[in-house]
Amino acid sequence: MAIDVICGMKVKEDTNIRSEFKGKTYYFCSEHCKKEFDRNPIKYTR
Amino acid sequence: MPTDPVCGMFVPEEGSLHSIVDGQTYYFCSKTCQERFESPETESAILKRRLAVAWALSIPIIVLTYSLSSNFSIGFLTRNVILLILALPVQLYSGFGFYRGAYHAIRGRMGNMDVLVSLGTVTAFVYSTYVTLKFSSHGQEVFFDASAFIITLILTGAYTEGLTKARANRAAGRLVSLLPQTVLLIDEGGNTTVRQTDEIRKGDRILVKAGEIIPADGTVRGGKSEVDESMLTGEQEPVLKVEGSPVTSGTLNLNGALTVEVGRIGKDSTVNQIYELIQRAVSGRAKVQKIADVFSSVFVPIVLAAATASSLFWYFYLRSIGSTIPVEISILAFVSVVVIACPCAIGLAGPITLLISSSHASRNGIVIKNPSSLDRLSKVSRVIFDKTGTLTEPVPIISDITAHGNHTRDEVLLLAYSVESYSNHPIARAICQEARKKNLAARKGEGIEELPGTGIMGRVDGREVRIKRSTKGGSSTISVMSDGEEIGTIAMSYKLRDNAPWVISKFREMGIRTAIVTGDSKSEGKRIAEMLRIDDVFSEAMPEDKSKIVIDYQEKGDYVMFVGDGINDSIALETADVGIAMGSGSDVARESGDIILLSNDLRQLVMVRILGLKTVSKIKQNIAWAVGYNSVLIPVAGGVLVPSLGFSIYTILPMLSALAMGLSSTSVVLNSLTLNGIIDRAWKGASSGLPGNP
Repeated sequence: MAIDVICGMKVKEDTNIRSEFKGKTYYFCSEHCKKEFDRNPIKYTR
Repeated sequence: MPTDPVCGMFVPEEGSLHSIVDGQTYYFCSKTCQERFESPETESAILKRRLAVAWALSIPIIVLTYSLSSNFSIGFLTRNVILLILALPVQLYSGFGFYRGAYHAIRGRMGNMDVLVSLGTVTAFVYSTYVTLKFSSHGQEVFFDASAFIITLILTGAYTEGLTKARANRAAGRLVSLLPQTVLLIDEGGNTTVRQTDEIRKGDRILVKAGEIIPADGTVRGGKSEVDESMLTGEQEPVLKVEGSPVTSGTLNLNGALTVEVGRIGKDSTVNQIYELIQRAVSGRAKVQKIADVFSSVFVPIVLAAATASSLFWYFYLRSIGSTIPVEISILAFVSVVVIACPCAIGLAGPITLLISSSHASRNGIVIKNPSSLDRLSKVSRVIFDKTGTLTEPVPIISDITAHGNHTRDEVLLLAYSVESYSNHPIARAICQEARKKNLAARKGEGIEELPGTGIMGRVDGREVRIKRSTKGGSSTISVMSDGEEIGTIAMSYKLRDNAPWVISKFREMGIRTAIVTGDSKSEGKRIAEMLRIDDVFSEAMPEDKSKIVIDYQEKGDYVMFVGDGINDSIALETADVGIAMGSGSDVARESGDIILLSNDLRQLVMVRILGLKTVSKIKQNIAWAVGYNSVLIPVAGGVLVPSLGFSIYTILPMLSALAMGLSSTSVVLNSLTLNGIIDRAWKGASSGLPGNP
């Protein structure tokens, strides 16, 4: 299980809703969270 | 995974316990939490009855247990049978909520507090009942005192926790509860009738008398009065409202009657939006809560394992040394461990602090839209200010008017006023303000056309009037043309907001570097930056450049706070680690930004920073307390003190465990409530010597 860094929910790693940033993969519960992440990856990865 | 809005625990969405309120689904860890959420009054009344029965019977149980010998009997009523009769209603009636909660939790394949309490008390009760019925004449030891007292003390804890939480909630709902239930509706004939507030619709006209709270957001259509908006913005100075002025629900009409055309009412009104945002803060997740989340998700299995391990250890150890009480001690160890563990205190640590912090913020005109920004706020190392409307007033002031040839200055201003009165541009507003001050009456304009970025044109008194305005330059000059000839110029400048120098100096003291970004010329940007001693300046910036500037700083390792206008700077506000939208304060739900300041008082930025620091440190303190508390007390309940204090501690340990569990959540709530005073003191310290604090 991975953690959606936007909303804090637990998500399965087999989800297609994911993004790469600086060589690491991030998983999301919804397109909404992914979109928010893609807009500001730095904000959510430190 | 969603969180339970009552206790803050993680709950799976596939769980059967959920409620839908206003289109939003809420999930619960237990039936108890769901009922507390759905109908808090009924739940509290039931809890009170269960608590009364529990105390009324537990006291005699404890007195009889320790005053009568275990061989006491009156006929068939032995001491143990009397205790069983007294303990039965406590176990079945007072403890009912725990079993129902445990049943739902187990059905949803999860663990919660109800499972632990049920396991503990049922174990003690069933064992004691078995002993009572099987060895009725033998005077064996029973634990009815433990089973009854555990239920009583945990119910007492739930009750006091409910009281303290209600206190925190009341503070959050303070503004909504002040809204009047009835209003005076004005009909087309101008007559007023009393109506329920929820019958009022957009477009209705209502009369708000002096001394009344304005029930809806809207626009003044008649009358003149001063309005106290301090409950919303934190600004103590009353605001004069005349025809055309916007008014906000929840503010107090001081000294005149106002006719208000209703804009937004009920759920859409500003106070209700703010209230909803405060409530939402509870389910917000700050990053510091991560440790609590990890702990609470593995909590119940760990506790059960610890309880079973200590129980088995004592059983086999005592048997191996030939003790006569291995079963009794192993049962008491099991009961003590499951009862002392309290996942609720860990779950509550973050949410209750966020609720109190949000509610405190709203009292000072600060709306926290995104609670997770609070821990980023505590790390901020760079503040970027938008210039116009943030560090300076949004509307410029006219610093000089020149007239060419035989034209007069009033003529120049009047022509400009006549066309600019059709525009909402800040420069237009400045010209209109100045013309009204001089009592000039605008002439009728025709064919008015706004030319974005350059100015406005139209016909006035048969003349072709064109105003060339430039948004560049803090002391910009606009040109007034009549039939192709410049008849004069109007010079403008932006006034710095009060307290701008103080805020910049406070950030410098805190070790935070500052920057200013403006569309103005380089010379104007430099002038403002030098005046305020701002570290970096970005002039002639386009709106889309602002978010790039934010990202540049973030890539260099800065945590960035961007302070700007909620509508024009929306991308920069969202990109920044903390986006603060200043001073529009109307439609809080639609504005961008993590935090919204309802007033234009720059000092609130320092207050916001204090709020972030203190809230995060309080959450950390609560989590440390709750996790530490469980980590220390579980081994105590498991028997680590037996070698030094002997087995006799197990006669009171189950009850001490219940007391500790009952009080742990309450102590977290009480500790969180101290946040109000902590923030106030920190603010007082930071702002000492500054007149008129917000």
